[in-house]
Amino acid sequence: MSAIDRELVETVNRQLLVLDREGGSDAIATDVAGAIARAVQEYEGDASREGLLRELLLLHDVLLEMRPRVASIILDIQKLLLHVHQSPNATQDDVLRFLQDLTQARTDRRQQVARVAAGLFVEPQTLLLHSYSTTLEMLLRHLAEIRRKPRVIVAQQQEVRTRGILRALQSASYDYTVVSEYSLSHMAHELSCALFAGLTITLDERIVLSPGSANLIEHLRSAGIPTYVILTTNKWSYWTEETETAYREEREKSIGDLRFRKQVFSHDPVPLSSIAGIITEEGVLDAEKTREVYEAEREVFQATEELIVSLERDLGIE
Amino acid sequence: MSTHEWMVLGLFVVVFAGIIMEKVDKAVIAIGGAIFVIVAHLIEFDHAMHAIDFKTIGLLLGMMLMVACLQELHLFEWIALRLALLTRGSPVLIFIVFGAASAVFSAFLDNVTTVLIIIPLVITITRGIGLAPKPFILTIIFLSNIGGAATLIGDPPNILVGSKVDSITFLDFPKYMLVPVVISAVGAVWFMRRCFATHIQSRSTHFGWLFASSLMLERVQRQAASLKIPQDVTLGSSIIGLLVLLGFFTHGVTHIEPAVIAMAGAVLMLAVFHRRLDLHHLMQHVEWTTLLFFAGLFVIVGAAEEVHLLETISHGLVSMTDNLWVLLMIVLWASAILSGIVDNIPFVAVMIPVLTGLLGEGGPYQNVENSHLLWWALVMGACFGGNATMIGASANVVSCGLAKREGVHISFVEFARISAPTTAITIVVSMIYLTFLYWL
Repeated sequence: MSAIDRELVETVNRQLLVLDREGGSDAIATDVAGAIARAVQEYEGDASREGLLRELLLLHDVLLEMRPRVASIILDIQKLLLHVHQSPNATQDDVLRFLQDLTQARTDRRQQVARVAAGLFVEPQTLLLHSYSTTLEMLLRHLAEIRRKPRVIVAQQQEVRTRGILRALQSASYDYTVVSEYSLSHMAHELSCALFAGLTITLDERIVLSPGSANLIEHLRSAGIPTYVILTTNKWSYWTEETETAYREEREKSIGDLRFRKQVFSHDPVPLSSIAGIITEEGVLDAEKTREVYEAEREVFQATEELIVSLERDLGIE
Repeated sequence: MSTHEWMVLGLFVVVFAGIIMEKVDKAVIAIGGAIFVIVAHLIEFDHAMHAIDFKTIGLLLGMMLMVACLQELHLFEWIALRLALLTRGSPVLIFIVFGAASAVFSAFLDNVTTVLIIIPLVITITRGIGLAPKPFILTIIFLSNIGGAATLIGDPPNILVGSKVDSITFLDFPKYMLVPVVISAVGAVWFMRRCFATHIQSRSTHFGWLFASSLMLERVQRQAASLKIPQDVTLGSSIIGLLVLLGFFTHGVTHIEPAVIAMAGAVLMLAVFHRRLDLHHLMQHVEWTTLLFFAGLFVIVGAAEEVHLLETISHGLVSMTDNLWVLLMIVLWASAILSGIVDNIPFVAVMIPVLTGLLGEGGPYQNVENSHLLWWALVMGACFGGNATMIGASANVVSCGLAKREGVHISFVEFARISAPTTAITIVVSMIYLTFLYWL
């Protein structure tokens, strides 16, 4: 019988937080798929179908322990587990091929999202950007290609995230300007709409976004500016969170000779009702349509989880 | 001993004590000492200016500028990320690849630059994959001090010896030092691996940990991909680097001082990459305090020479033994022990004229076979001895400071518990090697 290695959970959790900060939620899924592929390739333990299934089940449990849980990687590993379970002759090469297909499907989904989002920019607009993701970058490139580039105002947040947006805007030759996120109220009247990159949507209808988003969205709502969140359906979370959605850390900081403890939060949860719509590969969904799609997907997720639990029981995994 | 000799000796004690206490910057102490010897008429001003060895200062300045240029062009960062990818996230490979890289880098760069390039990345990587960074940090420190001993430009004591002793060329360093450096490095690696066997082991049969390592590698891969070095920079800096190395290796034939070669390399770098490099900005990277420290020290040593203190020390050494092998061991162990406790630069600066007195014209060892080995005993002792304690070498102090800033606290005792046996291994290797050369 095997139990979860808490040290491993801590280590992976720290890594995922850094990856999220540096590359956004889309990059995490790609990195995790890449890391699983590399681990499968280099694994010198029991590489039989049962052996791989056991290790992937344990990894699935580790990934479920992440705070916050990253839905896309859990859904990906679910699919991988199902594939290995359903393939009687699954080998390391077979797993690697499947992971490649998953990565390709993710890229296709993001391209579809970019096409869907482009529909919002038929008229000339001034767009607010705050969070960075590779899907957002893809959308900016796509809008440049079809000559529908909006004017962009970037609300500045953590340096590493803002840098990603600025690089994307620069490489596609956008007309843009930057404003501190706490000074946006002075420029709100210039905006037509706002676009955020979402991490996930939870069971209690909260959309998880990068830190600083909640205040901005609340302000935009009161100013009557529609806010959209890019969030493909493979990032949706279907479980009850036992802990706070946003990971909280207390860090020692100082200003000159003044030392203090600062509370740092990894994300901001925002109610679904605060935004105009979620941009997915299936279209722009309002709150009602989102609930509908969510329920259908949740049923599939639960059925798969039940199957995984029974597999774990069969293999004696706690 | 005369009053003047006692005064200079007293000054040396004060300088060493001041350096150990670290209350005032060592450059201020050395310059203060230099002013004292001039004001006290222990050395005339003109002689003091002549005592400053511009071969050493020029070589240091040239190398500092070259390193600053390469840093500004992000070449070190690029190399470090490539090395990280080479490790494939394996603890054993992280240990070997970064350890070997520290030794090789240190042979061509100064040790502090080496640890500044490597240690932050190693802390990120080891932490990221759930390993304690300490064993890896210690290994990098030890190997950078050992590797620095291999070339004339690898460590300040070598620069001093190489610049001030005319009979020693750039090629002599690898000729005499490569073997003990390689054997000592292997010995240190073996010892560290033995001490930290539970940390430094393969993860190939632990799928979950293999995944954690791979995840870190994905991150490094992304960083490496985003750091694009233009081809002209890679090609240009490689060609200049090779030309400088060629200059160093052939200076015995061309009779062009290493200082001139290093300065020429820096000027060439600045000329070729004038669009990317700003001299005014690079000047901030030059360690002017180190150069001032050397200048002040040269004046104090000049005063010691002027008042015949060094002659007295030479006679003292000769009176201890007339056996060269015993003298070799005395120089080796004394320089190793003193380098572990105090800065090795002032010690070597004093020992150079002492040994010159013994080996030079009219010296008691002038015609003794293999007496030149005394230089190599001094170099080995000073470089390897720097590993003995946390304050034994600048790289140790800088590395422990870097680690502390990242939340990895290495105490003096903890350092000594690992460093003392490691240093003992390297000094024993040196003893055997010197004995072998002595009997050859």
